[in-house]
Amino acid sequence: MKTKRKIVIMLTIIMVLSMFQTNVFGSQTEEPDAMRIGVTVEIDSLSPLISYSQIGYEVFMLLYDPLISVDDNLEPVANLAKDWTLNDDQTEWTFNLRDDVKWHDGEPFTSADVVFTYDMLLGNDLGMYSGYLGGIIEVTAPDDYTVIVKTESPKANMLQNSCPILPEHIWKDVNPDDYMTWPNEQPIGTGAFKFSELKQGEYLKLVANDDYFLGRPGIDDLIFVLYANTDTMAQSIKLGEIDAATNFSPSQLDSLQTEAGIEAISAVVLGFTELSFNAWDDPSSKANPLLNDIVVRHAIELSIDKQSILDIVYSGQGSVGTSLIPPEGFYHYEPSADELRDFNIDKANQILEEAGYIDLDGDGIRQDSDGTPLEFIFTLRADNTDEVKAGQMIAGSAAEAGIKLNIETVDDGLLIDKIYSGDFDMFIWGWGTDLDPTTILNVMTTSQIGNMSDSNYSNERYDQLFIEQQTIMDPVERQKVVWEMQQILYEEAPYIILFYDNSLQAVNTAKWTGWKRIPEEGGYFFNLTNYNYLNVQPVSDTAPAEPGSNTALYVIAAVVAVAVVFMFNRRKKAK
Amino acid sequence: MSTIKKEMRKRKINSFMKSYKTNTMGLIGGGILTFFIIVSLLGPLVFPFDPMEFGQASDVLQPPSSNHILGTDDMGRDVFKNLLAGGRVSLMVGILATIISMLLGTTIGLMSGFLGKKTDMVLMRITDFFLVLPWLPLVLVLAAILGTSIWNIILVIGLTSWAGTARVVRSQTLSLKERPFIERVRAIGADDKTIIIRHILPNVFPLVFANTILVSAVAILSETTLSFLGLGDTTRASWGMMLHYAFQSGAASSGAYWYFLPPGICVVLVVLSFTFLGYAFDEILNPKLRRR
Amino acid sequence: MKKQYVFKKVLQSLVTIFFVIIFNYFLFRIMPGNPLAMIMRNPRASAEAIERTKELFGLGQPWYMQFFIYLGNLIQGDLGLSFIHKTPVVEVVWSRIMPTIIMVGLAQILSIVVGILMGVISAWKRGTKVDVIALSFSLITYSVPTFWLGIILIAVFSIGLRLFPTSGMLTPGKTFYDTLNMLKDYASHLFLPVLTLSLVLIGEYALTMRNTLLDVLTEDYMTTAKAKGFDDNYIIKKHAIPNAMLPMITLIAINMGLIIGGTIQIETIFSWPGLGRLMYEALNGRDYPLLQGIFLLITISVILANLIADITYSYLDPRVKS
Repeated sequence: MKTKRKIVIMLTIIMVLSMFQTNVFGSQTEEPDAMRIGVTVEIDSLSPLISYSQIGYEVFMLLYDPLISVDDNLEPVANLAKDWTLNDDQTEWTFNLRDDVKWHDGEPFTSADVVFTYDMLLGNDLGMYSGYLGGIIEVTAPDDYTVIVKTESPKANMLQNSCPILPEHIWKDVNPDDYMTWPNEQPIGTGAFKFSELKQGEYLKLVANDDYFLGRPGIDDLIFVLYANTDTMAQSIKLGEIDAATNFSPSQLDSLQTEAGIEAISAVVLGFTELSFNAWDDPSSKANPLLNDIVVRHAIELSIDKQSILDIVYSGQGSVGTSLIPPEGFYHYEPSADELRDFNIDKANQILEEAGYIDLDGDGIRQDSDGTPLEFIFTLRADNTDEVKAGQMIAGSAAEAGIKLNIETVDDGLLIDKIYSGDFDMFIWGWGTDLDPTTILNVMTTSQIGNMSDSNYSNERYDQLFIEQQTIMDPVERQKVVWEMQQILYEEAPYIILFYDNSLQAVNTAKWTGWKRIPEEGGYFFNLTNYNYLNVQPVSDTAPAEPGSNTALYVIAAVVAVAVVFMFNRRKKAK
Repeated sequence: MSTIKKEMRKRKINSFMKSYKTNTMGLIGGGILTFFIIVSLLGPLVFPFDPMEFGQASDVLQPPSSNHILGTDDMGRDVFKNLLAGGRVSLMVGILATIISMLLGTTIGLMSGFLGKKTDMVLMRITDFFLVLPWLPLVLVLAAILGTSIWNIILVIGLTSWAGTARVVRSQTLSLKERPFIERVRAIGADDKTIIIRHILPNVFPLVFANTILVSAVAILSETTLSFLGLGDTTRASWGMMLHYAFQSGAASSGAYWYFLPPGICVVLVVLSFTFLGYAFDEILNPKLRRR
Repeated sequence: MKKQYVFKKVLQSLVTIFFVIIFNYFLFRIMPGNPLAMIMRNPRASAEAIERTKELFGLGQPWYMQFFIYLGNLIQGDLGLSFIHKTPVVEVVWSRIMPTIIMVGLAQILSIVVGILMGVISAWKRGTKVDVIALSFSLITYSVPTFWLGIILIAVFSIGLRLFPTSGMLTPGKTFYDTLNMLKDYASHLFLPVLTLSLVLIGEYALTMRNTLLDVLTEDYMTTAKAKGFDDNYIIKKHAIPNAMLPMITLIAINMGLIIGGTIQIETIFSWPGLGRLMYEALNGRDYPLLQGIFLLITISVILANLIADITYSYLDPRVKS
């Protein structure tokens, strides 16, 4: 009995091991050139009507095409539309479409698709793209390759419309009532990459579109790999498990920069981190009313040493913030030397003193004339350690101006609850912005209170200018208006724009060549263009080294063997 | 009567101490724990640490040197000082959470075992319920509801870790209840309250005590895990928070071992000392486990 | 007698499940944080889109109506629509359940086998060096924070020795031309997570096995057996181990709930696409329906595991009466 059992076990082990062995000599099929990009956020939906994520924006840019896209100088460039004209009163656009474009399933692309897509979005107002179509009143197609778009008044951001064109022959079968939930599981687009598969919690795989009208990309397989933390992601790129990634921490960037064959950069991106005040003067506001005094908001900004925080918390990766639109944008307004509120504790103390905030009881905290202390709740997001650290430094320096900030850390969900109900004093988070200023300027309009607004700010003049700027076709004229809007915001300070923080990215230059930063100081990806995805080429066909997967098998075989022994033991006993 | 009792108790303690002194594991555990308690009580007095104070940009993540024997962290602060201050927070969480858990577990276990009938049924269903609830998910949810201050974390850990104790105390109470001496006391005319407090509690206490030590270990591990998952108190420099910040700032992947290893090692040592102690006490108090 | 006992246990489990359903529902209702977080954070979302989302998820209804709708749907096996994914919760959970089952299953088997062996050896060689080493190993692994152990194992095995990949379940996006290659890839990815979870569990199993075995060995019938002249080896194998296995069954069942906690950490460290990670994401995104679904699934499986353990126990242990 005993020997018999041993023989069975031995045979099992030999069989299992020999199975692995044969495989080593098995045929090797040629591997496609796969680029793996590490990301930390999963795409929320494959439907452009549902997704609201940055990764969604990036993927739709590869699967689909807009009429006009953005080139490597971030200028509008022909895409599905080969050229376009604007009528004299600037309210009617004519787009001439390419006639050589096919959907991934082989159907021809025509103007009917454009009309269908725009009508669908205008009719439903769903998803992150419908906002780009604001002001359009009618879309028509006189023939298969011409589209006419009529607008209410001139539409300044018509060419910055990244709305992907969706296939009518697929979407027409979807009941409009189901748009909010129809998952679009097998997206069919016109883009440079075709959808291959989405493994929830693992990766999203795209494959090159051989028939892409602007030329086949050099990447065969494009795979967005999901990481649950950036630390293993940094290890992975060093080990060659992935070829590119973003969202690293400064110390990870430092260690990646010393790696051969890896280019690690600190990329300027459109966006900012801000300290937002609850500037709501409505009676239902639950904010500390002292925050309605602009002097207090100014004093807090004066007490913040933005440069030091940037240097310590962000390792200097970014620049100190001033106004709502980041400096890379054409519409950025830089406050004059008079307006600027640089770090200056003395001045913070001085303006508070002049405004009558005096520390009467000597506890280090200033009070207003009624004796109410300048004490506020400062909410920070627990899962963003950079913001928490910045917040701690801000609370430390505000104390020197006699302002007490009590830190509370919450998670995202709780913070959004607080913002929705107006139950907060101040908090830190950030926004990412578009090339066109409309979306971010909109956040500060009165109509967004209770919706998009996170400071409950309201200013009549600002609201007026917001509507006006959307209709000015001359960029220089429009810039003047947008500047005035930012000037108002800077003066009234519902936000303290802390930093324009960079995105820390890394790519493998030993395996892939042709990487280009867009714009010059910008990133390789998540930069609003699909330039790198289309132009990067594999260096040569080198088989990626697979870490000794055999070891694992031997170990597992051993475990199986032990388990088998164990089971035999048990069974014998049971008899 | 009471002097005899006192004498008996004294003898019990003496015999306990005698067994303890020969128990290597218990001695090691006790030694490590005493060391950590002393260090975390005195350490911050000698090397004060303020989690809200920061160094210069040039001090960030520097390796160990004569100025900073364990290097600096991602905010340019001294890792060694942080470690001392962190011990205080972690031990405090462990001990306070355990007290809550023990009070709840003992009370519920005593009531359930002694009162029996419907009370027992209801209390045991509740205990079962807490026993089967997936612990970490529940703690995560509760921490998100209550917010992430250190007091809430203590409360949450305490509220979710009493079920095991309650069960143990209940079964012990059940067996004690049937003993003749309780019958005798009852015959003299003692009421339930007296019986529970004077006669049953002292007898379940050793069991509770051994359990307490193990719960402390779990509580410290819990705080570490919660902090690591981003639900710690950001204004307190516990070991869990240190590990959280170390991981978030990429200390592990960029080779800053001096930031990432010490807090972890400290957690392991303290938890280990608790488990050693708990294990030793179990061995001493449970005669069956003694050498054949 | 036995039937009555089983019936009682089943009934108790059903009561607990009912408790869990109610608790589960209201726990997530009182949770702060707006479920529309995902949409709110995007400057491109329109007011109408937000309104429509509210409507779609029935958030406009009063809470008691929402509860009854929830109960009704639950009976039909409908756990609602995930806020984040906009697809049925059942589908989302289903797509993530296998990785966790495989990882936890393997780790459980491994740690039970190794734990029991260690416990037996430890108890048998009580007081010797082997016992001290086994005991110290068990206590140390029991004391290490799971996530920290995982990070250190990655540092050693992936970065130092380059033996195993750092994360994921399969080399992402790779096309496998034969099953063996895929198995190989799968195994190499499984190795570290399974090792981490096993290490954490082995200690407890070994300790429990050792203690119960020592307990059993001091029982009267053991002494009797010895007196009868059976050799030690025979006694341990024939009498002690089978009896000591009983408490192990309970421990393994109770541990189910604890292991889920461990998987959250392991799945975060190793980017393992399982339920633990999904649950954490759902928590951050305030995806109530998904959270409720996962929570319910986990608790019910723990309750069932305990029920099975109780029943098995009653059949194996002659001492358990009705």
